[in-house]
Amino acid sequence: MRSTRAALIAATAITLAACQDETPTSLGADLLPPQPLTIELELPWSQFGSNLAVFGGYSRPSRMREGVVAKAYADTLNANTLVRFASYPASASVRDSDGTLRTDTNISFFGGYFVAFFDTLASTNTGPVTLQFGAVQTAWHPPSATWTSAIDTVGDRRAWPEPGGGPITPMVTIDWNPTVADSVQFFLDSAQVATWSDPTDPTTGARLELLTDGARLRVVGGALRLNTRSSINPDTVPILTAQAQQVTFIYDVTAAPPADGMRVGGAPAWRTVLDVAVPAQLTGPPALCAAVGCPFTLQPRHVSYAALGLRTRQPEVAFQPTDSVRLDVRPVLARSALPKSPLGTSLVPDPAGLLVGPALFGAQAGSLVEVPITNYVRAILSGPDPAGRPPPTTIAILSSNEPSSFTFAEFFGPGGPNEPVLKLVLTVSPPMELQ
Amino acid sequence: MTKRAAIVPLVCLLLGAGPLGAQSIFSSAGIGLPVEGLDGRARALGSFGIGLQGPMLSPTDPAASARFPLPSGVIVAQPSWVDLTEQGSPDHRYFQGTRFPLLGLAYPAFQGVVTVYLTSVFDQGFDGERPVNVVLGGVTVPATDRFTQDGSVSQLAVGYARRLDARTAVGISLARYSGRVDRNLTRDYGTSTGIGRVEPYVSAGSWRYSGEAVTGGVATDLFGSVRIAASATWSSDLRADATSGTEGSDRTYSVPLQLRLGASSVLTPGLTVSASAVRADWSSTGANIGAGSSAGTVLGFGAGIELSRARLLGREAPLRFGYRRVGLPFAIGTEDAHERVFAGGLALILNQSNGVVLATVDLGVENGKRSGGTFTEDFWRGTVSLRLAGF
Repeated sequence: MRSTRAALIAATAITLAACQDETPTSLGADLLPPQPLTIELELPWSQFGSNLAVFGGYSRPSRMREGVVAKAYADTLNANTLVRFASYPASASVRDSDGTLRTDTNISFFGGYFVAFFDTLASTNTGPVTLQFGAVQTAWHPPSATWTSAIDTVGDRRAWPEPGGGPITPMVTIDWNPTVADSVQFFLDSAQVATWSDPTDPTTGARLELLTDGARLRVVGGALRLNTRSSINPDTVPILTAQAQQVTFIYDVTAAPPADGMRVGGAPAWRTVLDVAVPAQLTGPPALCAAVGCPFTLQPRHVSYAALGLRTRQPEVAFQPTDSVRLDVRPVLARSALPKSPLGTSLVPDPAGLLVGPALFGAQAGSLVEVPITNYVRAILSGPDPAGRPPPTTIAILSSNEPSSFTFAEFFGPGGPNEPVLKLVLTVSPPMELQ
Repeated sequence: MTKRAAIVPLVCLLLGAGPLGAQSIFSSAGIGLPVEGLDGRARALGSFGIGLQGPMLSPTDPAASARFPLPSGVIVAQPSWVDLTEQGSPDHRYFQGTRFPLLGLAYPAFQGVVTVYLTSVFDQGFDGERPVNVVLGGVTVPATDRFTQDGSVSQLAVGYARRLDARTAVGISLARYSGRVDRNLTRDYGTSTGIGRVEPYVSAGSWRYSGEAVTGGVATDLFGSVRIAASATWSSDLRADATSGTEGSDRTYSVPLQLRLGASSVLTPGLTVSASAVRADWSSTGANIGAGSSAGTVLGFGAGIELSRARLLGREAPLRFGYRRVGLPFAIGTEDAHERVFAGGLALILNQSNGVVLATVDLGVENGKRSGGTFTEDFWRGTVSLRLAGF
């Protein structure tokens, strides 16, 4: 019996030893079907695009939670940054005379400073500029404030007494040199600090403005540092922070929609919308016809790569990007509802969007930017989904976060040598046959 | 024990194993590599499964089942390990796989024995790669074509065998071909395209096989110790119908008449010799297969000896040795391909009653070489079969 069992185990082991199947792999290529053909096509606008339109006004600057200051930049642009601070801290942790850390709720503030942080790469100045910091005197509404309107909400529209957020109570003027630091401090006395102690007051707020002509600065953050007097240990001066609760910027130039181009980005943001059609049959080029015959019916699997080819152009200097632009492409789900149509999920493979350098909208304007939309083109060729819904044939080109920058990108529109193209990489082969 | 103890591991094997594992690069030639539904005993004897002593469940010897006194069944597992080389290339490719080439049942009825076989006929699995260069964005970049073929042709046969007298038996079986093959070519552009992600291209097709075959055979005992058997298989065309969604066309392959002859003789008590031969002219199929393959006439011969009184671990364990050489119907390129093996094996009789074997495991181990054109395969092939009777 024992030997029988051993024999069976041995037989089982022999068989199991090769149970992990490994398919024979050919050493040569002769046994494989004929090579597929990979071919690149570039469809002109007339063969794939139509109904291009540019829409603006998406989102609002306050959502960026950063600021812009400019003074006669490009002889046109003036911009100020407005800040409303959060409630001041109500307590501080202080060590008493015994060295024990205690919470002191009986604190007072006797001055401090406002610190502003700048993006030195995105700012246009290379030398010192003069900045002014002051207190807003007028009731204002951060989400709706513009250069001319302090409040612009339903049923309540109030203009600034002076366009640009004025008048203000000037507090500190200081020079900032980007080669020395990426931040600047505006020192304040006790009375000035007390100005913003009540964030529920609609007039509370601070304005940061640029006094030097010809520059545009990107303000990426700011906070109010408070010198604090403790009742527990008067010799200790804790510095507490009141964060910028709401930040926005207002500017005096209104960009007109481009008549002959495409625009993406800005704050509020611009979107470019266009209809896309992909030819279902191809009659060329000759290499394609020689390989698979023409007319050739294009199927989704034949599209290995598809991209919108866009040529950059320089926008108005005031809005010219000084930092990278991230592009996104999304299907427009209800074209008739534009400009308020909902959008589908992003078609760009990188969730962060397609990164385009700022130089392409300046010195290198005219460069080709390819926005990949392979899966979208495949979906168009696939036709209706299992539920019978046709694929959306309208797409919107937008910035990956709206708004992501005060500046915007522009591309040449249809009707010229730099018009958009649809680039396709197709892979085709005769039908798979049995030997 | 012992039948239940024997069945359990074999069933586990069947459940645990995947689909048929491909076992040769010659699976890529023509309509594949022939797979013979032979048990461990026939393999160990270098036989083509015809003309062996005793009752036998062999699709190629339909008359042999007439001698089963009890309901019987056989199941066969066949692992193999292959080393593939190509002339002029120092590279070696190693692969392995297990297949189950035969499941057979015999049941005495209608004054004879009714048989059912499920057998493999052709193995078609293989894959390959081809590096290519493509131009993307004006720049030449590398890409890879990957091809996978997965499939096989199998046969379900129902037969009947009957003894005409004490020495002679005849048998016939009707079979239907079935099976499927999937062919898939993928061009993979990799990640270094220069233009971002380029989706792979896939061209694929699937075909289902169908067809019919009839096998007839006769076996007779001469001089009390010599058995001679012959069989012939006629097949309709093997049809490959493209499945829905497959752009490729249907195909039809002519399958030639296959003739087999086998004999065995008990020279002395405990010593049996056997020999068998096959012939089939596949030339006419050559017109139906791809340009990369060729078809020719298959001639095969095998011989072996069996030491039936050998013992192992105190049990009766017949020892077997054999040799055979057979041409392959399809070759890669234009040169003929063939396979030759040296074989050995033994039987482990698990249970017997009154001289009737009720359960036995037959083991066959073959070391062989397949060659044709520029390809050579050195392989080890094991065959494990379990035969049960009286259930």
